[in-house]
Amino acid sequence: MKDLIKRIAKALVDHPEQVEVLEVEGEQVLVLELKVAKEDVGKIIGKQGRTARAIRTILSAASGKVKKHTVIEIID
Amino acid sequence: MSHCVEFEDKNVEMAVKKACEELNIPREKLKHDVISYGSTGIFGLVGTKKARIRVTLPKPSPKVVFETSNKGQQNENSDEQTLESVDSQIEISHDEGEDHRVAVDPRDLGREALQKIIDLITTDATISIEKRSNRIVFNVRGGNSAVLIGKHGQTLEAIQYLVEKIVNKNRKGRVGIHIDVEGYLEKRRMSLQRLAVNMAEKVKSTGKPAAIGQMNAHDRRIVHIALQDDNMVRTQSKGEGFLKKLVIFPKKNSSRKQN
Repeated sequence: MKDLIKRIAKALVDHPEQVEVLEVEGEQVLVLELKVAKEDVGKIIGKQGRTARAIRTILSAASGKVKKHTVIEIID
Repeated sequence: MSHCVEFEDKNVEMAVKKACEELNIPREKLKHDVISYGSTGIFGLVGTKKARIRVTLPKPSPKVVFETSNKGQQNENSDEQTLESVDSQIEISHDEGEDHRVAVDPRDLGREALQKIIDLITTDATISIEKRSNRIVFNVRGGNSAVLIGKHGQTLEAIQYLVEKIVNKNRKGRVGIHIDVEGYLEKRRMSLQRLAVNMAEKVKSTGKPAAIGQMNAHDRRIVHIALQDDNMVRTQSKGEGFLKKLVIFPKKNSSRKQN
């Protein structure tokens, strides 16, 4: 899961080396903290949050497999 | 090095056109910044503002050729030669500045990205590629297609959007990406067309406009096209953002027939 987000994020940004994903695991929930370079935040969020929404949609589809509610937070 | 010229007109479009004519530069080569978009004010009376654009010439980087060869003044007949050198220069600057992905076939890049995403959602899905004129169609078979498609195709849409973004990053032109899961796109198109026709019938019989809510651009396009040959109704998108409502209006035949 962490890997998926990392790969997608790296493919979208200008500074892939600065992409970091932290996993915070709860009992029912998995929080992924996505950290990118300051100038790349806009790329991850997208126009009207479209890219961020697409990532979240894919994440929720993927989280069915691990049976855990997954949340992503974008940190700059 | 570069100096700027400002142009003013009713709107940006017209200002750009004016600039092109006066400077004798083809539109696609004109490099400009919009200073103000202008506004027509209220009823075109109060508070009209003209649009202003600033045109930069001669053009910086990849078009250095102009600066050296003829100091920013363009010759119509030298255009073709310079175009070629500009192209090659752009490629060089891409290779230097950005990563190697520029050279990669968009098909391979797209397939790789798509496979990664799909593998994490479901297992045993295979991808086949179809290349049509200016877009690439990926057909996904096998695996858990219901999860891949999602509610009203939203997961599929998200995957398609991301793959398109990934493929088109670092590219000059744009390639359209379509992702289909087990013929879902066709099924969706059929059901939207059916819905469009049914709604149009309803509008015709009641004489009142009807709306189909929350549609994305692709879905709206299908409905617009499905009803464009229908002389009894007209369609219009309403709302903001990428999910808009589509409203079907009855056409008053007597008044519309003149145009």
